[in-house]
Amino acid sequence: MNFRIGNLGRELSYSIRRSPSLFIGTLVTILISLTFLGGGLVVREAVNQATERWQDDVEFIVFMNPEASPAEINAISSKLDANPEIERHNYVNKEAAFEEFQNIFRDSEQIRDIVSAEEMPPSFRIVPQNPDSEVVEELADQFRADPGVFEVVAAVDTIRQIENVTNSINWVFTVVGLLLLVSALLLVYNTIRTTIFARRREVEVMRLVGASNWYIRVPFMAEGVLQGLLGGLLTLPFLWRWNTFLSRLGGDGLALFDNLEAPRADMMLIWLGMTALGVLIGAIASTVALSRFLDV
Amino acid sequence: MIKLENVSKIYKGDVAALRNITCEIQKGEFVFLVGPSGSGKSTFMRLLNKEENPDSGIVYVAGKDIGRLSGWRVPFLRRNIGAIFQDFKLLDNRTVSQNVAFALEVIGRPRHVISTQVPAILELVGLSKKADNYPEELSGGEQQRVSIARAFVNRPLILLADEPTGNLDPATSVGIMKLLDRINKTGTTVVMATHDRGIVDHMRKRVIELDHGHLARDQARGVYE
Repeated sequence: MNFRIGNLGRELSYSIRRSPSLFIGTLVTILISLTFLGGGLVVREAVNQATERWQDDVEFIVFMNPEASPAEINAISSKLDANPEIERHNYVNKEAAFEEFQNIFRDSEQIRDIVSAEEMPPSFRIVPQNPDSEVVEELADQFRADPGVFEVVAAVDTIRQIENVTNSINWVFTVVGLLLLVSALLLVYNTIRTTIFARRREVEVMRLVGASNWYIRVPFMAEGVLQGLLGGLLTLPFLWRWNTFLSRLGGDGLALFDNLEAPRADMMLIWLGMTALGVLIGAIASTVALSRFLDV
Repeated sequence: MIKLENVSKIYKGDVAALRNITCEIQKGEFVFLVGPSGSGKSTFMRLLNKEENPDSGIVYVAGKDIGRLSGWRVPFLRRNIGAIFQDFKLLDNRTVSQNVAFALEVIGRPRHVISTQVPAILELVGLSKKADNYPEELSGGEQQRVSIARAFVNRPLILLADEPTGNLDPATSVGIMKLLDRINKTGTTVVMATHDRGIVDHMRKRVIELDHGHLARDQARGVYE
């Protein structure tokens, strides 16, 4: 394929200068759409992170003393097995607890370094038959006074409520994001169509003198892909800001989660994912527009 | 150079553009394609650079059956076929030399080749002094010379001219015909569709006449009618 990068740059800048409003409008729509989708994912990651211990219907946790004897631990285990109101339970030993702790605080070295596996409390994660909060409280009370038990924590209604709220937020974000994504697709499609129309004479001449199909197509495709790429890359500050906002909400406002924030690595992954999605949108929309309006 | 074997082309609604045409054009020939509007002249030309495909029959260009040419090879066929039109098809936002250079750029010719070939071809068509003018600053005849320069700069084997003098006055047309004749003398096969009786009668070249898609006449050193 005989294509010069310099030519491509010139074609692109010509195209953008010809109708900057269309280019910017499309770019901003892609940006907002991807910010919503990415923002939803950030919330999900943050909540997953904060409620890691409370997943899979775990309603209360019996934390043992780090020094609890094997006999004391076995006693609790048997007592749980014997209770018909308890559907299942899962024992998390010191090592597993330490790993989980390290994972939750993976972005905060200071917190990570102050504990060792030896100091971690082993615990039972308990799923009752009936997740009703009164029943759960009653069940939890049965274990508070047992030997070797350090603390019993129940998933109070608020945690579930917050999970529900964040699920709704997530849902709204995803729906709005997808709707905007559709409109972004259509905008890219129309941008490319307009560009093809504006340059039909050149395309005609190119075909006439024997320019290869790819030579003719690449500038149009590049325009769509560029919009998607820029739209995706520009989501970074928005996603960052959103994550910071969440962490402050977790720290000050709700106080329930000490760490409502998506881990940095996950956030970067979401950002890269959104950028890839933007590129994909641009490529798909321009390919469809080309196949419909560019007869080569 | 060009051979059609039992070529037919029928458009939607049973409009026959070409019916069972068989003819052969040798390398270096100059051929006039005449006939009333709708007789199939343009279709004939469009089949040669594969802008259209026949419904039946075989079209050979430079010894190859172009019906069997895969899509990505069509541009390479077209690099061997220059084409000019009644409406010139110049790019208004480019100067004369940029218009000509465009044809070389888009097929990936290196810059140093472009910078030597463009002035040479403009010299040939007599437009060296207008190299930096825009098409709208030129007369119709001059614009057609630019389009001939663009079609010929890549030294094609064949030059297709679809009513090249259709928009020009008789005096200007004579100049264009002289230019096409010169190009023909370099060995390029020229096929020209025209309505211009005066030109055909004056040049006394081979004439192929089409009538409602039929080949009505094929005459060496012929006249318009």
